[in-house]
Amino acid sequence: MRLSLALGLTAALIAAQPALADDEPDSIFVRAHAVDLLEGALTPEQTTTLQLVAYQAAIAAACDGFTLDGAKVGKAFEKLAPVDAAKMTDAQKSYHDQHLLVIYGILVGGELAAMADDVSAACAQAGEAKADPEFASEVVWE
Amino acid sequence: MRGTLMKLALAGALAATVATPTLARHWNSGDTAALITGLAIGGIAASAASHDHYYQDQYIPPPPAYRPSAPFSPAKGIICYPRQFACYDNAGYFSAKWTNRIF
Repeated sequence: MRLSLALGLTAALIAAQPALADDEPDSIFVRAHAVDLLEGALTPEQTTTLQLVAYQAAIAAACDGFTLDGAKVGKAFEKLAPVDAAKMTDAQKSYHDQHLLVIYGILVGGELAAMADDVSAACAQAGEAKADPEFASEVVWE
Repeated sequence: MRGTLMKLALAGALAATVATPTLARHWNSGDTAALITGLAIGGIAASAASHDHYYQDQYIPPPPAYRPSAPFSPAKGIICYPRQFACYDNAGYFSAKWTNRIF
């Protein structure tokens, strides 16, 4: 009886988690939860912007030669304003901003944890992104 | 919250109905534990299925019309995960370049 109860409870908890395969990158676990926690607050394009800013913040924290540009970060966050702002109260807009900051923190932390095993490889890959002209419009580094 | 309480009450009623055939024997502590655990799981499921966990000042946007597709590889050594709006390289590192390009 107790074993079946434990199995049932475990199954219920597993069912509540985002489904992840064994061969997926470790950091996608954190990312999946962060995106779920957004609860639709951002459009897909805004979600991508938030992830790219969080990634660059983590790289700036861990890698030499990368520094965040405050003005560029500010402009990136301006893109994250709620698309339904006209329908929202001031309190809802304030909640939106605070909500995003929490998710941003989760994404930065998840990225730092993911690169901890081999920081130099992550920094080298970030260098490739920085040099890519296609990525230039999204860069928030100096 | 009222909706959750109603669901818990319904779950309790359902559990009692299911338990009825077993009343031919004595109700024991294991049955009580099972009932409490069932109610707890039912409550968790009901809460997850409802909007009661939303903060008072949280704006609830309409649900998206799209359904994210399965992971795919847009180039050799790159895998993109639509549900997470993210692409990774073979080493398991987030690829800003491909994430920007695809999403």
